[in-house]
Amino acid sequence: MPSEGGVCVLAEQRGGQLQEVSLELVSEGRKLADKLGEQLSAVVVGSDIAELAQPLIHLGADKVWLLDSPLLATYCPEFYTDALAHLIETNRPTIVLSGDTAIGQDLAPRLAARLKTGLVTECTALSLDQEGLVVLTKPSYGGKASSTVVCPKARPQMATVKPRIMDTGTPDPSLTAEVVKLTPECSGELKTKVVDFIKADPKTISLSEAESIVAGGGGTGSTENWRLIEELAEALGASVAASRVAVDARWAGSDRQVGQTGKTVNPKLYIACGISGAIQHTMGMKDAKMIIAINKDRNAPIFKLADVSIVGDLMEIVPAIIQRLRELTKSSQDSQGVA
Amino acid sequence: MNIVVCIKQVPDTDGPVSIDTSTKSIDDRYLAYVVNPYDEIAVEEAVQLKESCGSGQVTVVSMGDSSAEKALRSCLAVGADRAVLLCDPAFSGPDSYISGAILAKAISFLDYDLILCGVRAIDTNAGQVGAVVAELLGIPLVSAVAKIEVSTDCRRVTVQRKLERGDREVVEAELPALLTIELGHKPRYPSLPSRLAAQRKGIDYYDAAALGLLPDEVGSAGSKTTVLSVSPPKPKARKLFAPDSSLSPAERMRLLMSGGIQEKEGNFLEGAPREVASKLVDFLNSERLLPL
Repeated sequence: MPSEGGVCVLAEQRGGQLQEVSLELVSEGRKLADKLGEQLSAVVVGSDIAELAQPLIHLGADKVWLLDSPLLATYCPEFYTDALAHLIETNRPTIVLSGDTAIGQDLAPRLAARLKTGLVTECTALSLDQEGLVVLTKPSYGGKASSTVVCPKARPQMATVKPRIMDTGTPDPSLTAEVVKLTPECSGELKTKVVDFIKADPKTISLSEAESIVAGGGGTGSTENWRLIEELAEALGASVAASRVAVDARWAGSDRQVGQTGKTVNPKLYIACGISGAIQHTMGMKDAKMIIAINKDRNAPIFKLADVSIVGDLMEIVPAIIQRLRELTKSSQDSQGVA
Repeated sequence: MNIVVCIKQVPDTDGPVSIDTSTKSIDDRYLAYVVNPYDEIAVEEAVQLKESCGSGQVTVVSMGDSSAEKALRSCLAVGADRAVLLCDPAFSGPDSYISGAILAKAISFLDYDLILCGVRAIDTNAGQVGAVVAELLGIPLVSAVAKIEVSTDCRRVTVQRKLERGDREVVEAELPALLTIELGHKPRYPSLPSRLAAQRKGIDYYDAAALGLLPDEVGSAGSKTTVLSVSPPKPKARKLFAPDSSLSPAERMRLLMSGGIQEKEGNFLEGAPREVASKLVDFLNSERLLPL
């Protein structure tokens, strides 16, 4: 069946797990395809991935391509680009969507360059104009502006979309669709080779790269209490940071200091424990996506920045959080053990 | 080792960026221009690699109008040997693809073992030019590089790539190759004599004809994408707890009607420590912020 046109989602799997953003894009792609009156397809690249078709179909994909080969088990830029470029050239979708993840940011520009087409990265909104062109919105100028971009002539129109912008729809288990399994050749000599993987250790990585941070301040009170901050960080897989007061008290090293005379950070999660929120500290962390503040003083300025504010004693609240986290980790491990 | 670095002169986004709402574009009257910070790191890496290799040349290439000379000269001041400016009225209004295509064409006339680009420019935030240059030159590409080591025979590089959550991937590539640089050594501060020397150096200009490009292949005419408008960013929507069923209907309505956007202040979680802790953890879990 020739399937020219249509919306195609590059669904990303890692270790046999579909990435959340791929499910969001299938749901969003379904809406676009319906408005255009076209087909929605999804592609998964990997090895032994037959079972990954189902969730995509239940979210509305009309067709799922599985590019299945042992050589594609983990992300290999050259083979992935070859295989996907071939599939796209053969089936000519008008729109190709990918998640803006570490892999998507590497793969999509390679594909667009190979296909000699336009790509808009880091999109935060998609819509269609009267002619059915995709209008893409993305942040620009360091987040101080928002640009609206189209790809008028070249096809496909490609975009990478930020995770967690779109909603994942409700899966409908009654939906069925065609699943086509292909085995790409993956021939040719690789010019780049992955030789090692270095897992980040939250304890040592630079704070500017940390995804979650637990920060302690003067309110922590003592070296013994500082251990609680470290325990909470460990339970969250987060890095420890400190305010100037805590660094001066030698509870943490100066490389852990956040603020005017320390580092500027932008993690997804920042838990400020016993930090009052003086401007010298907050200018280093105000761009964190989610700020949780725990402080004794209800009038502490940190609460003006916080997404969630907790007034209370650190020594009571932090241990309770750690305990709750451990319960949750244990129950999720148990349930995975059963499955 | 001969290294080519692609650089871009961009507005300094640390300064104020104002948007002209009538033309729906950036108001460029008051902008300060700088070398794209990622490109600055790439230049520093190139100069250090050249210094450790002991031979070769670092060439910086940029596309832009003659004002981009300033950016090229600041690269010469920190150790680049030669500067090339791709300058033609026909080049104006390019997208990532056509910028990459013009740079690739120009670089094909140069002698190179390694090409470095910043991973992205801070104005467009596209992150595509490196991929286009590598594809059109048919050389291997490694993106988001954080550390470079060159083999002793200068035939291969071993690099660390930046992945999510601070993880790194170690990749080997044959030269010639293109690396897009995300992290690296801190750019050096140029000395006054080197700045003065950079002012006196010549910059090689190439226009479309010199590169053998037709006017309709370049600039906005050759671009794949078109920017329709630039506008101020939308205020960030803020996630709220699901309205608590113990609240009054009026209060719940108010929370829903606010559309999730409100002043941050005042979202207090109260209660006994255990209760607060479990509410918080459940909320973080629902926001997928826990490593489960």
